[in-house]
Amino acid sequence: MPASTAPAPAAPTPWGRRARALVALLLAVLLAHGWVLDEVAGLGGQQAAEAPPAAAMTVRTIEPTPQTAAAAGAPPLPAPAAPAPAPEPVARRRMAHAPAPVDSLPAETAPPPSVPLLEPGPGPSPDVAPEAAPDGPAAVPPAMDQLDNQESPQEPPAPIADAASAAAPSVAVVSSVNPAAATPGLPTGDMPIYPTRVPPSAELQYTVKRGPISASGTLRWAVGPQGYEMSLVGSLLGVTVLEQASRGAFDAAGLAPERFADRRSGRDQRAANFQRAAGKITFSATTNALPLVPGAQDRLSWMAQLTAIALADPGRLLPGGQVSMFVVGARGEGDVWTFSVRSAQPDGLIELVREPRREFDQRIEVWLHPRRGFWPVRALQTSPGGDASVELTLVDGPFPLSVR
Amino acid sequence: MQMLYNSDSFAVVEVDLGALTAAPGSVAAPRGGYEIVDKFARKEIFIDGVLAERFKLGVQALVSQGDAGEEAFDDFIAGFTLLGQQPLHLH
Repeated sequence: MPASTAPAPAAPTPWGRRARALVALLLAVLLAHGWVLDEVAGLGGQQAAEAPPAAAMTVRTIEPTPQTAAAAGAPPLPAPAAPAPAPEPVARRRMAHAPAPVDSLPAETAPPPSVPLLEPGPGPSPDVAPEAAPDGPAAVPPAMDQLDNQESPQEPPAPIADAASAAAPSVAVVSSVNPAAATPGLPTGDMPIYPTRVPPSAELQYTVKRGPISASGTLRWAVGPQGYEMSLVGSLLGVTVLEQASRGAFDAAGLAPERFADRRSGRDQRAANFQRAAGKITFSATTNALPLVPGAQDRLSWMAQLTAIALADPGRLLPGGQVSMFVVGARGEGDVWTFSVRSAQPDGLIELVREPRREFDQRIEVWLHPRRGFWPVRALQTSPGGDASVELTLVDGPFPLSVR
Repeated sequence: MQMLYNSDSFAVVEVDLGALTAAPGSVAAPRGGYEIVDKFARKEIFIDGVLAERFKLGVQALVSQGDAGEEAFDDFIAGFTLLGQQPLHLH
C-alpha cells in the first residue's frame, strides 16, 4: 500500500518543477530581451509604445511586446537563480577530473622500468671496473675506426637530410622518448681518461636553431679557483627559449660537473646532480639514478670537455681518433658518446661525429677550430627517430669573459 | 639582420636599422622591423612600427608557451603576410 501511494505524489512534482522552471526561464529570457532592447532603444522606447506607426521606425515596432513582458515579468526575477546552480556542479566535476590524468600519466609511466636495473650500478663501477675493463675499450676502437673510415664517404649528405626532415615535428616529443631509452646506453666498462687542459674563461655568441626557430645564444665559460661555471642561454626577441647551466670542479678526468640545470621555454627547470661522494648521478625529474663514472659529463659540459681534450692534445683529434665520454641529460637519460674524427681540414677544422647507437638515439656532430680556441664552431644534434634537430653555429668569439 | 625563423612556408628576418645607422660608440634606439618571406606566394613583406611591435608581442607569446610547434608559428605569420596580398589600388 505505501509503495503504490508514494510514487503518485512524486510524479506531479517534477512536472510542476519543470513547468515552473520553463516559465521562469521564459520570463527571464523575455526580461533579458526587454532590458537589452530598452538599453539599445534608449529614450525611444516609451514613445514607441504609444505611437508605433512612425513610418521610418519599422524596427521599433517590435519593442512594445518585450517591454510589456518585462514589466509583467519583474516579480519573478529570483527565478533564474534556481536553474543556474544545476549546471555548475557538472562544470566543477569536469574541472576537477580533467587535469588529473593529463598530469600524472606521462610522469609516472617513464621511471619505473629503469629503476631496478640501475640498482647494482653505482656501487662497484667506480672502483672495481678498472680491473675488468681494459679488454672492452681496447678492443673496440680499431673496429670502429674501420667502420667509420668505410662509411665516411657516404655519410656526409645524411645529416643534412635528417636535419631537414627532423625539423617538422614539435620539440615536445623529446622528453617522452629519452627516459625510456636511457638504460641501454650505460657504460659497459671503464671510461677512458684523457689528458685535459682547462680552456680560459670565455664568452661565445651562437645561433641556436631548433626546428624552424633561430634564437641567439650566449655561451659563457668561467673558470675560478672553485671550479667552473658554464651556461648557454638562447633567446628569441627577448624571450628566453633555452637555458642550460653546468657548474663543477676539475679532477683527473677534466671537467667534473656537480650540477646541471636545463630549462626550456614553458617548462619547469630540470636538473642532474653529480653526487661524487655517493658515486651516482641523480635527477630532479625522476627517481632514476645513474652511476657516476670518471669523466662523466652533462649535456652542456661535454663541449668544454671536448675543448679541454683538444687543447691538451690536438694530436688525438686526427682522422681516425676517438674520444669517449658518458653524457647525461637533465631528464635522467645517460649515454656513452664516442666521437670519431671524421675529417681534419688543412686549416685545422676538425669534424667529430657521434653516431647513434640505436633507434631514437642521437647523432651528434661537432666542428672544432684551433683558431677559435677549439671551441665548437658548429654543433648539430639530430635524432633519426624524428625529433627536432638542434644546431649551434658560432657567430662570434671567443671573447674574454666580460666582468659582471 | 638576423634570421629568426625559417620553415618550409616562411622566413622571418629581423632588421635593426638603428644598429646599422648608429654612430660608432653610441647606443642606438631600436628601430627597424621584420622582413617576412612567404615562400609559397613568392612575396615578401616588411613590417615596422606598430605592426612590427604587434608581431613581436605575438611571437613572444608563442615562444613563452613553450611547446608551440611549427604550425602555430606558420599560422601566426600567415596573418601578417596576408597584408601583402592586398593590392593598394583597391582601397
